Amino acid sequence: MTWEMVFEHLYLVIVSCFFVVAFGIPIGIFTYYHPKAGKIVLTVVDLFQTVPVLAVMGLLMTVFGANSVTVIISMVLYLLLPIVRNTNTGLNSVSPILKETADAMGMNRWQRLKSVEFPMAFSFILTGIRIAVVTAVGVAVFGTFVGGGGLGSILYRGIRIQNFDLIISGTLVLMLMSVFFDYLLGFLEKRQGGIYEKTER
Amino acid sequence: MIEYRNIKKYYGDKPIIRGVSFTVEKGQFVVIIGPSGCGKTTTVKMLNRLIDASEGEILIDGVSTKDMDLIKLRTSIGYVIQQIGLFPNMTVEENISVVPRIMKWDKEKTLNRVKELLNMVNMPYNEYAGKYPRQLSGGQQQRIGVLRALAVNPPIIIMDEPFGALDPITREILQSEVKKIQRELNITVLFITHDMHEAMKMADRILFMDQGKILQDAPPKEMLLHPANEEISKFITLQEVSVKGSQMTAEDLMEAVDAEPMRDEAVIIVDKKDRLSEIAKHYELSGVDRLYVKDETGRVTGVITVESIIRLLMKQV
Amino acid sequence: MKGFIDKYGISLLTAIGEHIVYVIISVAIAIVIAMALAILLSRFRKAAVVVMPLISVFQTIPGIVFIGLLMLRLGMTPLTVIMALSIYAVFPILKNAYQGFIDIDRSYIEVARGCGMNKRQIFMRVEVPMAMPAIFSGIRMSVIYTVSWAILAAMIGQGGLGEFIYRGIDANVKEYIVIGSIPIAILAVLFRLLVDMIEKKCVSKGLQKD
Repeated sequence: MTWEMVFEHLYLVIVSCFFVVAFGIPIGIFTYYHPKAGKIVLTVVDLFQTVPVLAVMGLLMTVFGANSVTVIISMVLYLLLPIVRNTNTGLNSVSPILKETADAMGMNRWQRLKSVEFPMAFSFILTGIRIAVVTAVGVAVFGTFVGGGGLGSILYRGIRIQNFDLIISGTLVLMLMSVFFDYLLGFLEKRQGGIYEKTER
Repeated sequence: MIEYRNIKKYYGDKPIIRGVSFTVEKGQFVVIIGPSGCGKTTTVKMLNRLIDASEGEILIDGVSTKDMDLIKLRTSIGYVIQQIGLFPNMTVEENISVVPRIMKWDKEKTLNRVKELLNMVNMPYNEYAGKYPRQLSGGQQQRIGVLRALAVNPPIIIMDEPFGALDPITREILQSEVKKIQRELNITVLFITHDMHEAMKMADRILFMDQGKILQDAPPKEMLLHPANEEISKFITLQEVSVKGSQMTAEDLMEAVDAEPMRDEAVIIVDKKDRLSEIAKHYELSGVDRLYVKDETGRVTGVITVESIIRLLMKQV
Repeated sequence: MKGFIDKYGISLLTAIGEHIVYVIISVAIAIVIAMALAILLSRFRKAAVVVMPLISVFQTIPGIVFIGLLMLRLGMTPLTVIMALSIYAVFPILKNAYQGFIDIDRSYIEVARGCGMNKRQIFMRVEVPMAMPAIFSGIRMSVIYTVSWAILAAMIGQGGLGEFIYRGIDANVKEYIVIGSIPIAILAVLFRLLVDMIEKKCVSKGLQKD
């Protein structure tokens, strides 16, 4: 195992999570403002996670070739669900009284979103991000099959050449990585949750 | 008849109930009231043995609850709690049928009973039987909770703050309904609340509890007019409960005296059941400053003076 | 079209059949094991406090590792695949079912006792129905994961739709990849719809969202 593989893996996770957050939150906000269209969007996003990611990678590979672009696009599609859903749930769970108060103070829709709804929904969104990142660590393993590199290649090689140590070491690094991200983001979430009164989820 | 005999309950070394004794006659509506943490819920849960007493025993019609079959004991005591008492996974009909099912009633008997009960609260069977709790309003849910407790005609019902989560108007209505049903069916009720207004309306007798003890055991008006100690009177005052003047009788207004020889010629004696309005008339017509009060046997047991009335009013402030 | 069917028809159907069998058997085994553990753990909360976080950590082990390790121990057989998939499928069901049981408000249990239900009746009539939605979200996750991880059976030459994808990627034949991927995607969606359907039947309407 080389450091390069670990970094490759981290690269896949971080880049795909960056894009999934960049797309997921606006999509989530859209589903909040347009509940009818939003329902369709949520179903589609749910479908992306139902379809096995390896199948998506395979299909995309026929278009983009065997490289990290294929892996990252597949991962982004797969990971959209937690972000979009939690953004939607978070915004919907902001108390109507607060929204009304914001309206009464003369805020327009954008101001209300920026300074009331989004901050209140933020701990929900963080939960979504945490789920997405931890899932990403596991999903990136598949990247190796379509030329994306990462820790999956160690595991795959370990199994092919029947090398027990290789499998174990690859697994341990993966576990460490997910636990680390889980705790880090969990910590941020708790700190965020403490700023406002505790909301039920 | 229910009889609590010196019941005690410890959690670890900590005494929760410190020797509670009282009896409830058949058909009596007894309200247990007190601040939260006073032990009222624990006391009542020991009746159907959701909690077992550490010491003492409880008798129902002379038989210790310890010697009864647990399931028989519980099915013979209806149990209603605040708000979430209904099982959300069951329809109205299934909820009401819970106890009949445990007692293995046949289907037809159960169905008839469900219909009869729903009729009693004006919730037509066809409309409501198939609904789930989440489809009902809070008041409707609580009605079904009461019906479930009534399903197998238990002689005793326990109600633990059953109307605590309802809006004032719905609460009023349900209180009246429950009281009516209780009188008609002559059910013995143990009812917990921390609302003195509710206690006044429902109770034949009120037990005031604090720190695991009964501080006073009296009919509602007596507790209000003659609270046994400072704490009870504070509790009453805080909730702004008072007896309406129109409900007061000579007995409430008087101060007890030993049968006093009556030297005065112009003495006026009133009956202890006489209402305030009649007493006022006597004052107006005669111009005396004291009225004597006689009991059923004709003996003079008390005297009403301006001072006694003022002292009574002071107690209630 | 006819050429396609002649060329791949039989092997594709076989692969779909194998895939379905892997998923159904593994999830069935997982449901039995997970439910038994969830019921047990929900009755021994003190043990659960230690066991449940461990399970969360175990869950981060990718399925590929289970297959890999079991293969090294048991050899390349369908049994290896089924064991690995079952183990992996246990986690989501166990986690959700356990949470479903412990999330039941204690007052429901107490009312049930107050009504005179015995332990078995409380379990069958109150606890299980109330935990059902959580149990099903666990089963749904397990089924979806298992459809996905069953692709790895091909990695040790044990068939399934992964066979096509592997061959396609290895030999860089796009046709194979597409032939493997599309049925898998459809299969996953169908399985999911099946679980949703069964859920509708099994979960009380009082606990379903409108």
